[in-house]
Amino acid sequence: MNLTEDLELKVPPTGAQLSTLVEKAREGDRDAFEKLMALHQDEIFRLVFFRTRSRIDSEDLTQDIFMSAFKYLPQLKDSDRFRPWLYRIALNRVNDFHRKNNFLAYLGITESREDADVADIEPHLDPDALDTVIRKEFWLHVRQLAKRFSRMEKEVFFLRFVDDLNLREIAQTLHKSESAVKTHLYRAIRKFKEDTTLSDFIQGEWQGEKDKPS
Amino acid sequence: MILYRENGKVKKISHLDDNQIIEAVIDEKGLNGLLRRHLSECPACRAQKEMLQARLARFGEISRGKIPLGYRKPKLIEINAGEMAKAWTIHPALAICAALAVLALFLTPIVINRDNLFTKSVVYREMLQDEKFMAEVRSLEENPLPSFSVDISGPGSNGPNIASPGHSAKNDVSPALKHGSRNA
Ligand SMILES: [Zn+2]
Repeated sequence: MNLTEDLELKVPPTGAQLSTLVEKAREGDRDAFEKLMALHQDEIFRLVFFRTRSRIDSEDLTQDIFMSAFKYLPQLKDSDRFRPWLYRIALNRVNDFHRKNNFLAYLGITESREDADVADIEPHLDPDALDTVIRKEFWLHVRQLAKRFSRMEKEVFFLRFVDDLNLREIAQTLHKSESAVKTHLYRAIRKFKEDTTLSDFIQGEWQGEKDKPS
Repeated sequence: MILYRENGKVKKISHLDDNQIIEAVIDEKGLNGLLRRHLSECPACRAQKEMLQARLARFGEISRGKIPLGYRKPKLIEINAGEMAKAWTIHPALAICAALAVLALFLTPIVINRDNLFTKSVVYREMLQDEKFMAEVRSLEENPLPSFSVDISGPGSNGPNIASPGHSAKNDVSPALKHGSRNA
């Protein structure tokens, strides 16, 4: 097994390869950590961007998350749990960011992030992007849905369907049992299903836009 | 027809209900064996489950698709352990000050009743106005004529005595008038 070559060829690493990288990084191997970073940076940036809707903040937070991960990696006991552990750091940093932002907004030092949903997305950089208006409508629906979720329902639902984590990974990320995760997910999906506006939007308008001849 | 046991009771259903479809989407293997078997054999239930699954997948796809391309990639910056620890540590005194500031901010609306404060300021303003009014009343009691009339009244004259130009009307008021004995 040539780990370096595989990673350079962008072949998704196996669980054993990842564990080896984590163990090396834990011992202070910077190259190993940089490989881990390269493997996870897109998904972590996506996680942050989905939750902050700001490119600059997401870039800064992603940097912070990996610096924290590097610092605290020696404390990670089970190298197989690197991904949920990294997601936990990421979620904590995002929540800190929102707390700080809300506090500054409360003091009137910054503006609330409420309206920033689509402001930081650059359409010209995303050729497959939906039309801005449709995108904005989508985010309005998402925000409405998120308001109906409890905090845990929100975390579980987005980790499962946006970040694509499986039940076990979500349980490890949130330090909950799998059955608790299932319960929260069940309630969240019910609310998603009941939200006919969002469902119709997803099935109808978006599909219609996608099918339009270019 | 599906006959299965749930919480000690035998249940009879034709198809999976909405809740069971959601359970199947979350974890199909976790479903009751008979329900799972029905799901695998019934096209209607299968379609229900797949439709919900597709909708959730589409939701994730749209959400994930909107990240800016060419974002700044994270870098492993060279920071020695001491600096790192310093950067992440908050001085205890600063933490206490921040906590007190937050507490003060949250308590402000409780401690200072803004309505009460507003009411008090209005009362004080009215009291000052009353005081001014009473001073005017006292002055009128002493000088029944308004100041203009007092100014134009000459000493010992019954008719108007218009002050000549260049003279201050005030200076023309007789000492007697100044002492409020004009009507005496
Ligand atoms: Zn059926």
